[in-house]
Amino acid sequence: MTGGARVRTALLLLVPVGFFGVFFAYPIGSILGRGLAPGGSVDLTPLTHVFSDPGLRGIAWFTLWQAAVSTVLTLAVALPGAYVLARYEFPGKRIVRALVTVPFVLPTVVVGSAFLALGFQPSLGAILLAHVFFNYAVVVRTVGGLWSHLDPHQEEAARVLGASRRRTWWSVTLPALRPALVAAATITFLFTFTSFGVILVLGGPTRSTLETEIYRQTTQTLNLPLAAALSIVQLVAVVALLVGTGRAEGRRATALGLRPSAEVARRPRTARDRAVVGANLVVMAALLGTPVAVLVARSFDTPGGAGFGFYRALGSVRAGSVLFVPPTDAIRNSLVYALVATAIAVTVGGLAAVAAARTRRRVVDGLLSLPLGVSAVTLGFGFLIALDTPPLDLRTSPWLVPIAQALVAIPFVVRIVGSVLRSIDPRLREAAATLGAGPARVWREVDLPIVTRAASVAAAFAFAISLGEFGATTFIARPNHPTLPIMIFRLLGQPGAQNFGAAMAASTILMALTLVAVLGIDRFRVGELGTF
Amino acid sequence: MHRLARLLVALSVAVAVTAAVPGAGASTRSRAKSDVTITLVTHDSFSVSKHVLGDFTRQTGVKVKVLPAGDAGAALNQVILTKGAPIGDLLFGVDNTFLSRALQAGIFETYRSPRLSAVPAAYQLDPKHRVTPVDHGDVCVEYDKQWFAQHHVPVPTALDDLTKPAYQDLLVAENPATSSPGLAFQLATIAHFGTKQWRAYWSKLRANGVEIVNDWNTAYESSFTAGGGNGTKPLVVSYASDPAAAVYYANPPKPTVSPVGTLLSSCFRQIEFVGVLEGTSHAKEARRLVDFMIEREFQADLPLQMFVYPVRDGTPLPAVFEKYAQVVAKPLTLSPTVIGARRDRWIEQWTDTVLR
Amino acid sequence: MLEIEGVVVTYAAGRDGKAVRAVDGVDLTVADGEIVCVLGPSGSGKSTLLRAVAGLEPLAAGRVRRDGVDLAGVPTHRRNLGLMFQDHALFPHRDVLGNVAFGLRMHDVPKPEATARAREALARVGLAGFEGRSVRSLSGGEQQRVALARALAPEPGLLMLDEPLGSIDRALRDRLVVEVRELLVRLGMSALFVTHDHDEALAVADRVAIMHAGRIEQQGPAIDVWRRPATRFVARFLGWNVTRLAAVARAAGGAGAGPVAVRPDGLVPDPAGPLAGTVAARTFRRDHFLLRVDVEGEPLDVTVRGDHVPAVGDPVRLTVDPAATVVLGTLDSE
Repeated sequence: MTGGARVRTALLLLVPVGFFGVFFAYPIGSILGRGLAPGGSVDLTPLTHVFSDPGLRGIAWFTLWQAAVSTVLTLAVALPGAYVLARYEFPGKRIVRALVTVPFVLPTVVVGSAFLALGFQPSLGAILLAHVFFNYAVVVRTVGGLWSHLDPHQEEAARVLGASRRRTWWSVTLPALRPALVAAATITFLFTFTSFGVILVLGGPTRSTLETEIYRQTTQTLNLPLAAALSIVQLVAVVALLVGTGRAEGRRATALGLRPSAEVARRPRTARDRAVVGANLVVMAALLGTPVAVLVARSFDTPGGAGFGFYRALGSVRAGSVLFVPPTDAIRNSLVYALVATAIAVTVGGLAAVAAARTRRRVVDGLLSLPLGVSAVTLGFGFLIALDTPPLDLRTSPWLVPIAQALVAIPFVVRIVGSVLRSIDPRLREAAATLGAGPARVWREVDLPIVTRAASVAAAFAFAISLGEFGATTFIARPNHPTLPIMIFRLLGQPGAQNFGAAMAASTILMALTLVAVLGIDRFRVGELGTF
Repeated sequence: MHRLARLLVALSVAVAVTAAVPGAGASTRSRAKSDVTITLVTHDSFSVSKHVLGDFTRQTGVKVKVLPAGDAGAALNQVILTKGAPIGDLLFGVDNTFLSRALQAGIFETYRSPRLSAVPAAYQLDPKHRVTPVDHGDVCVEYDKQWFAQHHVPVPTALDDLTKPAYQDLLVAENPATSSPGLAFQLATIAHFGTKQWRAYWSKLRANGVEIVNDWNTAYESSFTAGGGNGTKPLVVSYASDPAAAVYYANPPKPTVSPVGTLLSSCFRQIEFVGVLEGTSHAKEARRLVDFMIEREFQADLPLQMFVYPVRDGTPLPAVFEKYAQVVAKPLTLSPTVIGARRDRWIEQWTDTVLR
Repeated sequence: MLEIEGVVVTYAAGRDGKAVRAVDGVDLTVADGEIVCVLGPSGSGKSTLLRAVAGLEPLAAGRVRRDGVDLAGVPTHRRNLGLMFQDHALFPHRDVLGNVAFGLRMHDVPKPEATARAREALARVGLAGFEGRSVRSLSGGEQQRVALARALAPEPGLLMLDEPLGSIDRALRDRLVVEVRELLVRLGMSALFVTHDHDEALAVADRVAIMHAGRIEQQGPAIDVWRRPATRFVARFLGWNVTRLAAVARAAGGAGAGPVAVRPDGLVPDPAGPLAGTVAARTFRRDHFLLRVDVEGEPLDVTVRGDHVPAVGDPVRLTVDPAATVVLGTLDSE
């Protein structure tokens, strides 16, 4: 890289590094510092407790193994689904693809209650099932995204050369899918490793993860040293994971035969094809559809028969309260927060991805993935004690909500935009140069339009994430502008059939909004290789 | 080009909309130059009628911004962490189970409201008047009337009944480590059985199949037979005001008898307090709000907003309370100092007894 | 006029860290209005040479001049060259017209004029009416022609084409070769054309340069190169037999001097011929048969027309047409 290019890269990094520093590193550093160096001198004994105390050690161990099992299970259940959606063309496929993504963005409180309503007792099984439910979409979209572009001729060649279906899968398909598999497994592991709501509701009182323990130590017992120690253990584990998988992902196969997805997918023709497609659709319907259907059904299940009673109740229950907002306002708040979070995430993440693609290092990807490994309560409390000096006294600012949501969405933006940037054929840039475009013009005419499309996918995705984001939002003291998830949470916190029904109605509205956002994502994916 | 243009338009719209981030550009101070706005930090369950707060503003010229900050524990801890540069002017929602932590942290200014004369001394747990009681409620074992009628099982009347075979597998309670009613119920058993015997009681409860969940939502909405879902437990640790709430929030037509009843001898009293935060620059206005919160209008508004009881003597109760909720004459109590000193240890012991 | 003088392009390739000389001292000129074709097998460095001329590869040595001006330091986009890429490199995010008008926009041609000229360029390659189509929806041949129109539209001073007809089926290619040549001649455009197909090269070029291992082994008018290959490599690459058989050498009049090249149609079956051999293989080619005949252990390619074609295993005698032979230089590298 030339000196000038280096300067440009540094300038590009200015915004992401600044944002990340102010809104992540500084708050997290502050809260950890408050815990481990309360008097100014560092005291690391709480850290040793985490490993010496059998209870805490058990929590760390449970966190780790349940995440590993959840990841393996999710891959096992979702890979066939990814295959079907990537390789077969059938009526309604677009809507199925979008529907599959809805669970990913549902607030865990709502899903927890749906699982309990289905008769699941709090148990390990319920946790694992809910984790599969939430992360199915991660695998389908990440792995399926690559799979739908993988040249089927490679597999056909292997079959003709005498490989059985199984051998072909192990020796041809799997290696080709490896980068996407690693990415999907990483994201799933991260999400389940830092699982909070699912553990709290479906784990029952006997199962804790690091995340729920950090929450308990912070909000209930105010044991900041221990909370900080647990946060550090969690953060170190996440960094180790990201570094490890970043390496594995970096070694991607160079000569993947990628083809437009329209050429790869085909209609099911044989009985076997139909059975494969049918079986997976049944799995999706049972696993993903049932809890969602329960929520929707309950939102219409009024005592006088099916009707919109609960939707009307949304606008009238507790209407006189100072904290009441009509559902239209909650929808508007959700949309506005999500828009702002999306704008932040796309700007910060996009610049970071462009800079990362220039350096060809994955450090930036990994660094910006860190917010996924930090508990929402740690971040919220970090904001509180760090951002207390003007002009950065944002502690009670409504901006904090979209900023926190953007932190969650940025890693995905970086991944999506980064992978597309890296996949741009360098000859396109050369062709533009021979046609008379200077370096800046080349960037504007070739990179930018292609990145813009990827950014649109990333934006819609960030939008959907922010729409359903609940964790970070609840731990931020914020003026009374509740989003839909917050509204749902408040309704569930009140006794009485009307509150409960109204919560279900609000959940249904949230799902509908999500569905629209995801359909938007799919409209923008025009054969590009965005990994989500 | 067009795609790029569209994205740019979308982004600029997003930026324009940020002007409309709920409350963003509109700094409360700039909006009302002559008026003062004070911030009331509270928990997510806080509620008050708009017109009541409106009356406060009309009377005093002071506006109130309500800042929900998570559950009661989270709200208190946020205030403790920001001591010195408080995020608001008052904190409402510290109850007697958390009171000693709040007082030890020294987050409140002393203020003795002249209106306190109307509040019974039993609620005034801080002799130094750093906090002022606002409401009280009782955490009790609630039962599903219909279930007991249909199954021809007599309704339990005492805590000891819950360990009997007749009530095997019928009770759901919350984890005191994560839930405020859960902690209150544990304290009820400690108050009733004493610091030596309560663990034995819980061992028996455990043997009798008590179900423990982490939060009130799950207990009431999912496990309780008269809650939102198709639960299987007709006994739940919840609030004494539930019978009233169950009628008030029932889908029309409203029932004439509440579906929920209260086991009156199982109740632990929770008292919620408000306090002026140390370091506020609006102490005068904040004190005025404390006064207002124990005046008749605010007190009368409490029951239907938060399903708690007013602390002020002679406050009229809404009909739905009069008719359906039973008054807990002799609630169980423990002193905040004792709770503060031993809470963490008790929770640990409870965990050992019930969960391990 | 393009002058390439002593150009060397190196890649720092390989695990041993040794630099690979992809282009190893090439001299070549393209006169105004001339079509020059660089012909060579894959890996011979032809594409790299084009990229070096375009400024996409740095020169390790030598220089490139346009009309006397050294292009060192002139960035690609100011060289006023057209380059048609081997796999077209069409912009996937633009439609057909957007691709073709791209170069015009880069040269600040006003939009209406750019559109008109782009349409004209499309019409010229036979794609009128394709303006709004997505380039993804085009067949290989159509993409090919869009790439050609895109390179032509800004009317560059020199057009470079890298295996432009590579991905097209034979019949269409034969036709397109003619069309491309006609078009270039009509426009009076200088062109540097790269291919591995000698039929294509001979059909399109005024002058041919045969490239091998980064060097140009022979250059000259197409017909001269075809008639008089100068080295064993060139002769073999063009399909000639290279042999030291005495009878062939005698016919060529260069007995004992060195190897001799003889075209397959210069070996004629003749019962009285001096060469005796056996047919080892026989292949049918549209208007003739190609025989492989073993003569004294050496395989020779022989073209045979007519009805009486010997079968595999038949003995056959051959005479040598002296006009179809060349005595190769003794300094030949091979």
